Order: sequence, then C-alpha cells, then structure tokens
Amino acid sequence: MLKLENISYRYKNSNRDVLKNVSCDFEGGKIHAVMGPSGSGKTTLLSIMAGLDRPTRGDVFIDGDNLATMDLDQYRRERISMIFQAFQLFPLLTATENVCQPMEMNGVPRSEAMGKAKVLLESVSIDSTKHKRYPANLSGGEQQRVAIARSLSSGARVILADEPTGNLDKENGDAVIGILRKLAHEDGYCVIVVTHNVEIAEASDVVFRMRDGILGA
Amino acid sequence: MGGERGTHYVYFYGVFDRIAPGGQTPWGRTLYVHINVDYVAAGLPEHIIPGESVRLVFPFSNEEWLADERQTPFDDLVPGERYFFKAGLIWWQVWQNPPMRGRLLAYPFGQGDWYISVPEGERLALTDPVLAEDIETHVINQRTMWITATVDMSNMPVFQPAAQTYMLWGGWGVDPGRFIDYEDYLNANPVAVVGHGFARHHGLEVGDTITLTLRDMQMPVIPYGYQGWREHPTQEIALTIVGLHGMDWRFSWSGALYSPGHLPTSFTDAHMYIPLSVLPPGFGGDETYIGLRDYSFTLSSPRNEGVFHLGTGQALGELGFEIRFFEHGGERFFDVIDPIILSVTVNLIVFSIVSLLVLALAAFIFLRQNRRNFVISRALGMPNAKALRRQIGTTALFWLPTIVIGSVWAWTFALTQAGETLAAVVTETGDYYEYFDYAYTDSILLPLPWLMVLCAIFAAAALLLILAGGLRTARRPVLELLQGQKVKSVRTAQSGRRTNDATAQYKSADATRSEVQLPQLPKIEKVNGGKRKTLSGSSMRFVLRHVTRAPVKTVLTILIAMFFVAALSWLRMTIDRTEQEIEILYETMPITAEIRGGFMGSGFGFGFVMDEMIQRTVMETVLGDEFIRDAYILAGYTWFNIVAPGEDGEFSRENLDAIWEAHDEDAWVNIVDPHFAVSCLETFIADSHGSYAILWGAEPFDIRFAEGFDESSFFYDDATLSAPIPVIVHERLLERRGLELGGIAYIADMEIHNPSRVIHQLLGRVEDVQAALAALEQENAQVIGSARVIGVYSGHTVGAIAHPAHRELVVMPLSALRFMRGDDITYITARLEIDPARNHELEAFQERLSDPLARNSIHMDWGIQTIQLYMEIFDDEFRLIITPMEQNLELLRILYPIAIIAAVVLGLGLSLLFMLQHAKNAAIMRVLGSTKRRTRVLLCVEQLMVTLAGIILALAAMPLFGMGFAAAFLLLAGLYLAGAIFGGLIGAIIISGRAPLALMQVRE
Repeated sequence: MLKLENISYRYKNSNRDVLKNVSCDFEGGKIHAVMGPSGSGKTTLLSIMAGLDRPTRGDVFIDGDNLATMDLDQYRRERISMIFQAFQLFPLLTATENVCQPMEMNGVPRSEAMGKAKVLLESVSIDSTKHKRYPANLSGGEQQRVAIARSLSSGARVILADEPTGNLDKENGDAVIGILRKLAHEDGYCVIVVTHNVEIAEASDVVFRMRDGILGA
Repeated sequence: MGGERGTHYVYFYGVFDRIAPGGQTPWGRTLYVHINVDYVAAGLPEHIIPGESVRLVFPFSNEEWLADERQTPFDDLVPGERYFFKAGLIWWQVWQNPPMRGRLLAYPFGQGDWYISVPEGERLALTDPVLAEDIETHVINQRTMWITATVDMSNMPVFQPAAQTYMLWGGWGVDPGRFIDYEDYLNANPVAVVGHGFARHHGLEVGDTITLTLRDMQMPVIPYGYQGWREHPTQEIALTIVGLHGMDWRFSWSGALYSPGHLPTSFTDAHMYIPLSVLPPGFGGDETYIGLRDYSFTLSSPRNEGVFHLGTGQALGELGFEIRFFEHGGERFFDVIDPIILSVTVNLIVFSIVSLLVLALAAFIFLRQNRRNFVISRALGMPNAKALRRQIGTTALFWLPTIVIGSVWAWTFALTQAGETLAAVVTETGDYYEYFDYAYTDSILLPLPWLMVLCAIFAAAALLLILAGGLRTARRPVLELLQGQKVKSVRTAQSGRRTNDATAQYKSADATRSEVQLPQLPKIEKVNGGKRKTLSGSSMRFVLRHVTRAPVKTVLTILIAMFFVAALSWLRMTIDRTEQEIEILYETMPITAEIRGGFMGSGFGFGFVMDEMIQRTVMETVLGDEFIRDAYILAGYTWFNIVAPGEDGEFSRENLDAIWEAHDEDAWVNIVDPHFAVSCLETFIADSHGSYAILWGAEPFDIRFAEGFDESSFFYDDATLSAPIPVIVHERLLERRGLELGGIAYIADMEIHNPSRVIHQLLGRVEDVQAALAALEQENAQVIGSARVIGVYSGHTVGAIAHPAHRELVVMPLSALRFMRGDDITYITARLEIDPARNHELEAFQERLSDPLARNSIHMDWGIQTIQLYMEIFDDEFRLIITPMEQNLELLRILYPIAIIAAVVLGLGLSLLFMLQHAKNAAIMRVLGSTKRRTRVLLCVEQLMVTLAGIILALAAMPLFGMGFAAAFLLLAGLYLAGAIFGGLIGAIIISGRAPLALMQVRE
C-alpha cells in the first residue's frame, strides 16, 4: 500500500544522510512497527511518509502513485492520517468538531460530517455524553481515541502513529493498540507505528528496526 | 529701600581768569565767571575735573542772591589769584545725557560768601565747622548708592515689558549680565546689578566686586545739617556685579542707549539692586513704601480675584489701599485652557486604559507561558507561596527594569520635546525673553517623584496581575494542570454541563478496552480532493470557534484595538479642533498696535510736549498699509493759544496780550495751550478712564457739553470751512481765559511771526478770522482760526495722551489740526487695529513697517531729530490665549505620530505574539492536510476578525462620545489594522513554515 524505494534524506547544510537508501513495503491489513534508538532517522522517515517532506533521493509510492507527482497537502488530507503521542487535538474544538475537521477540510457538508463523526467516536468507545467535551475535559485515553477517530474521518487507508501509547497507562495503551489492530486486521488499514514500545512491536505484524538511517527487518 | 540723592553741589579750588557776559535765559541776563580748576574737594568727575576750566553762571534776576542787579559778588576777584568756590549743577544739567562739564551755577557758602581766597598750593583750613561738615557730607552723599533690595528683580514692573507701566519709566533692562533672581534671594548671594553710567564712570564691569558701607540711618542720604550721622552703625558688604541695568535701547533718542557716548551720569545712575536677603537686618529705610516701579504681585489664578478682594483686598482696604487689577483677559484664557485640560485629561485616561490593557495582555501571555513552570515547581514539592514568589520574582527581575528603562526614556523624551516646544513658543512671543533668561523649562518639567510614582503604579499593576493569575493557577490541582485537564469540573461546549465523576468514567471505560470489542467502523468514502475555497463555511466556523472560545484573549484584543483606535482618533480630533479654534481666534480676534518712540508717554521733559514725534509721512505710510483696518490717531501742537473774544464778541488784542504777559512761574506752561486733535473723542475719553491713566493718579475726563452740542458736534468739515472749530477745553482754562461755554474763541499761534515756521492754514469761520486779522493790523498773522467751545471737561490727562504738565489741553477734531498745520503736522498717538485676516502675519507687518518707522525724522526745537519709532503690537492677550493652544497643539503633533507608531507597533506585536501561541494549531492543520496558504489565511482571519471588531466598536462608539466621524479616523483604524494584520501575517508565516512534526512530537 505504501512503498519506499531507495529513500535517502539529507538536511540542508548537512553532509550526512539521515536516511540511507531505505526501501520497504507497508502492506494493508497489517500493523507495522518501526523501532530504533533516538537519532536513528525514525522521525525523518515518518515525515517523508506523511508527506511533510520530500526525500533527497528515492521515491514513495502509495497504491502505486508516486508522491513526487502528487500534491502533498492533498495526500495528507486524503491518503494518510496520523496519530501522535500527545494526541494533538485542537484544544478549542470539541471531540466531535475535532473529528469533523478533516472531513470539513475535504468539503464534506457539516451535517454529514457531524453524523459520521458521532459514529466514529462511538466506534472508538467515546460515548455521546463526551462528544461535546473539549480535549482538556477528556482523559488521555479518550483523547487518543478521539485522535484515532479523527484519523479515520478522512477516509485515508494508511495510518501513521507516532508513539501512540507513549502518554497512556497500560490499560489505555492496550485499548489503543487493540483499536489499531482491529483497524488493520479487520478493516484492512495499513498501520505504521513508530515506537520504542516493545509491547507494540510484539503486537505488530511486521517489525522494522532503524539504525543510523538504515532500515532493516 | 528707596531714597534720593539729595545733593548736586560742587566744591573746588581754582584760579580766577575773567568775567564775561553770559547768555540770555528765560530768567534774564547772566554773566560767566571763568575759573581754572586745580582741585575738587567734592564733586563728580563727569561735571568737574582738575585742570579744566569752568564757567560759573551767575543769573542777575535771582533776587534772593543779589539785591543790586548792577553789581556782582565777583567784582573783587583778582585774575590769577586762587579761590575756593561752591557751585551746583544747573537744574537741567542733573539729568543731562551725556553729562556736560564746564558750566556750573554759582552758589554762596552758608555765611553768604561767594568765594574764599586761598593761596597757591594750599588747602583751606576749614575752621568753619558748618562748611567742613557740609563738604564732608556732600562727599559721602555723592558716593551714596541708591539701593533697591529685591526678591526677584526681573519681576519688578520697571523691568517687565509686559507691565502696563513699563513704558512710563522708559523701559529698563539688564544687558550685559543677568537679573538678580529668586535663587540669589534664597541663597543670599552677595551680588549686585549696577547702572551703566555708574559702571562706566567707575571703570566697573560684570564680574567685578564692589564694597559698600551700609549705614543704618533709615534714609538714603545724610540730610543737610544733620550732625549725628556718625553715630549710626555701619556694616561693610562686598558685592559681585552680575549685571548692568539701563534703559532699553528702543527708547533712546539715538537708538543705542548703551553706546558709551550716551550714558547717564554716575550722579543719576547710582541706583543698584541687591538681593533682599543680603541686606543686613535693621538696615534700609522707608520699608513701608511700595513704589509703583518696584513692586508687583500676581495672583496664582485670575479665578482667585474675587476671593482676594474679599480677603486680603478688604484688609488692605482698611489700611487705605485700593486694589485694582489690570485687565488681564483671564476669563478668556480659561475659556481656552479648560477644554485643553479636558482634552489632556481624556488623553490621560484613554492612554492609561490602553497601557493597562496592554499590560494585562502581556501578563496573560506571560502567565500562559509560565504556567507549566509553575506547575512543575509545584509538582516537585514547592509550596504554593514559594512558587508564586518565584513567578513574581521573575516578573520583577525582567519587567521592572523594562518598565523603569522605558519610563525614563519616555519621560526624558516627552519632557525634552515639551521643553523644546514651549521654549520655541516663548521665544516667539517676544525678544525680551531672550535676555531675561527665564528658566521656563523648569516650570514644565515633571518632577522626578512623578516618574517614580508612575513607574511604581505600572510595576504594581504588573505584579498584581501576575499575582492574581498566579493565585488562580495555584488554586487548581497540580495533577490537573500537569495533564492539561480539568478534573473537578467538566464543561461542555454547548450546555456547560458539569460532571463530577469523569475520572471514574474514564477508568471504567478504559479498563474494558483491554480486549477490544469495537463497533463496526463506518465506511468513510474518500472525498473529492479537488480545488476548494480557502475560506469555506467550515473554515469560518473553525475561526469563529477559536474567536468565541478564547474569551479572555478575544476581549483583550478587542479592547486594545478599540482603545487604541479611540485614543488615536481622539488625538486626531483634538488636533483638528485645536487647529480650528486657533484659526478662528486668528481670524476673529482684533489686535491693536501702537507706534511708539523714545520717551513717548514717559512724561519726561521740561514743559514741552515731546510727544509730537510721529512724522506725517510715516503716519500716512502706516495708515495706508493693507494690514490696518482702523486707527485711532492723536495729533498735537504746542504753540497755539486759545483767546477769548472781547466784550463786543470780536477778536480782542488785549486778551491775547494778557496771555503773553502772564509770565509768572506757575502760569508759564499755560502761555501756550497744547492742542490735541483726536480722531475719536470716545476713545480719547476712554483713555482717561483706563488703568494706565488710573495708575498715574489721573482724574478721568468728565465732559459737559454746551447746550445744543453733544459728541456728534465734535466734527469739523475742512472742505467747507464754514464753521468755527469745535473745541473742548478744561474747566480751569475756560475760567482763566474768560471763555464762554458754547461761545466763540480765537486761536493764535505764538510763533507764527518766526519766518522759519510754517504759515498755517487759516481755519475756522473765515469771516471771524478775517475780522480778527483786521483787528491785529500789522501783527495780523498771529490769529489763524476761530473756534467754538462746545464742551468743558474736568479731570486731567496723563501718560501717553499728554504730558502730565499739560492738564488743561484744548481738544479738537483731528481734521481741524491736520488742515491747520498742513504738512507740518506731527502725531502723538497712532493706535492701530489690525485686520484680523492678517493676524497670522503680525511679524511680517512689524518687519515691513520697521524701515519707514526708523526713517522718521521730525523737527524738534533743538533741530531735526531722528526718533527711533517702533511698532508695539498689543497681542499679549491674544498670545495669552493662543500660546497655550499652540503649545498644546505642538505637543499633540509630537505625540500624535508617536502614538500612531506605538499603536501600530503594539498591534503588530500583539498579533505576532498571539499568532505564535497558535503554533501547535498550525502544525495540526498542516498535518491534517491544510495548505500553508490556507493555514496562514485562517489564522490571520481570526486575528483580523477580532481586531476589526474592536475597531468597529471604537468607530461606532465615537459619535456617542461626541467625537463624530472623520475620514482620518478610518485612516487611523486602517493603520492599526494594517499593523495587526502585518504582525499576524509574520507570525502565520513563521509558524506555518516550521516543520509540523517538530512541534507535535514529544521530545525523546
């Protein structure tokens, strides 16, 4: 579903490649874990996969389409979605409005977006009493589940998760992993998790290890 | 301390040379006794010095000195023999400038001798104790200084050009050097200001020190014959000369008072000023006497005039004083000042509110940014109080120096600007102030404690805001703050509903998710990613949600925008209104001017009316100037007599002769009747009621018209010459000359027989004059007109309108005198009303007329003289009103661009700060696929909406506060908005340009 071919990346004013000929294939229906120590290039890889940056060399393909030829903003709106350790919800929007946001950005009518958002929130076990709460009034687990619901709202089939359980206790972390597993295994999403968490790695279908810009299985 | 010189005698030794016939004087024939002086026992060097020859003038007609007119007391003098003489200055010689040496009036010694023989090389053994005492006291008296002890010399009326009496004393100033000022008085500085003449004759200059021996006599000189003067205690004081005083150059005959050739004598110029505190206690005399030229006082405000009259005025009244205040225009001043004070007060309030709002906003941002530090400190076990202290300490550490530095800079800048502005305005009001050297800036400098108080207020406000915010944070649970959640109260977006069991709910919900049993996810279709509008409905909802859900920030931003725009608009409006008011004042306030010249109106002279000094051609030039809207003119001529008709009603030669025969001392000034011709009788009378006249103790005119005549009769048609000249005479003159109220009189010219004089036009009823001429036969030219006494007045004229000696002048219409004297007419007064449309160009007007006035040359009795005329523009009241307005306007004009720049910069800065607070939101939007452009637009629109709301509120509120609406307000609002947008745009570009992941990831 998401394929990297010989990706290299070098920051401006640097003489060292942060990513070195990275090639891999992320398939739908699986959870992929990318592990590695700090400074190994995980974030850079995530940035390139998320369409927030372009590789110095190499190509990224999504469903066979080369990112080099695509509008990256549109790519982020429609083809991939992201989940972060710190949830990154709009603090002044309610849970429903946060979930609606990607849909509204994609031109979905407000009423339709609201309906879908409620369903999505219910699907990640946020009951309706909390739909109108601001993120500050939700627990960490709930915030992360709202973030997952938001990631699903755009219709993207690739989910990039950056330490999704890093800010959660075990119970809530397990719940989030459970949702991601379900999304991958039952709904065919391609889930790519960048993490240090061994439990996530163990729960993943494929584990990549990253060291000094080189990605290995 | 006042006093008088008391003596002008000279005692000297000299060798008799010869006796020669002297000149003719009004008192009779004189002879001159020529003496070669070899020693001066008492006398001033400017009048007599050894080695020179003097002529002792001996008048025959003085019967007190000489009974037999055919003999002289000097007949026995032997040529070549040496004698001791007593002489005195001839009375007018006392004041002569420059001093004249070589001619003295002979005086006898006390015992009646006119001289004492003394052998060559010897001095007289003064065995006569009276003579010895006389000489000694004269030597002392001639060295006596007339000292005025003052608190502030520059405030004495004699030195104040603004004083209405300034002209009366000839206009005095200090140059070179400075006045004795209040500081000298406070510090008892041993300084003195002496006269130019005194300094010149004694070789003194500024910086020199003189020593005085004060004698506690309570009188300035040793009285004649007073033997006990040695018993009075004395004290020496040394004084440094800090200035030389003298008459202002403009009032001198030569146009250069301070030129060495025209200095007063040391005799007349021994008047010095010292600080009152330097005068030892007990010294000085006549302390209860307050001279008009020596003392003035002003009330702290014209509004206190009534209170003063009730209090101090009444008390002074009981002591016999009458208090009258000069017309000061105080009410008009306050009419102008009150709106300025209101405007400044509003400015102060508005800008204070704006400043406090900005402070509140800064505190808000600071608190938000430091909340995490506060919470972490608390989590680490730091007590609330200590965490608060640390937060306030941080504020104090960084904010207080900033406030102090900013305040000091602003204080210095503002006061410098104010000082420069006011100094410039003051200088423009008159060149007097330049050498008066007043420290005007002292009065406008805000005292340093004010700065400290203002700093303290702002610092306290900052600390209080931080403290309040800190206390609010401190009341919240640490865990909640760390998690960024509200634990105790959960508020929903729409209903505000609160639940207290939220934590329990989370736990129960989360605990059940170990084994995930999720409902079926909805099928989300991939939506069309085609081209979309940047500002769609969803985008606007996003913006509105952020606007409405951050009320503190939104309200603060709105208020700041509102107050800034309101404040700037208020400033603009104030400037516009002040400009309009100034312009209206310029265009409507009548300003008068007067042509003045040396000694004019000073009352100075010897019986002549010296005020006839404005040449006809000069007057015509002035009156023809386009600046002049109206004029009041007074002309004069001295050598006319008004003669009553004889019993038959015709001209009477006997009556004319009777006038000429009245050569007694008391009546001599009435031999000639100074005729004053006025262009407006009403003004002429009003002058006699003015404070100027009252100050001189004049009695205001009270005119009584003859039956059948009134003010309208005071008119002469010089085209028809068909009626006698209407004249108004003094009641005493009417009686003495035997004139009849309503009757005919004749005008004779006492000098018309002189071929050098102009032959006057015949005036009045022609047949009357012709009849009179026939009666006079061979001396026919003396009668030149007929007059009708239409009125009689009591009181007497003074000051600028006549010499004080001429209290019985004859008043006639100007047209009559102008016709009578033809080209030879000279004017006394030219009071001009300037066209208000030209009020802006007063300086140009003055400059333009300076040349014609300077060329003024008139015939005086001692020859052609050039009188230094100048134009005195009476714009004091105008300036009194305009100056504060212009000063205020100038300050506003300085403040205005600063306020605009400050507002724009602050608007920009606030937008930038707020935008930087949006960095994470921008990153989320970017990750969600928002383009950079859309992200920037959304963020900027939010800032724009809030700022715009503030601006619209401000513009809408302005009419409610009477500010109306002006295009300039829109411009100012636009400038502020532009600043806010620019700041927002910069911020949006900065935050949207950052890598989103860098902002969103948790740092490893």
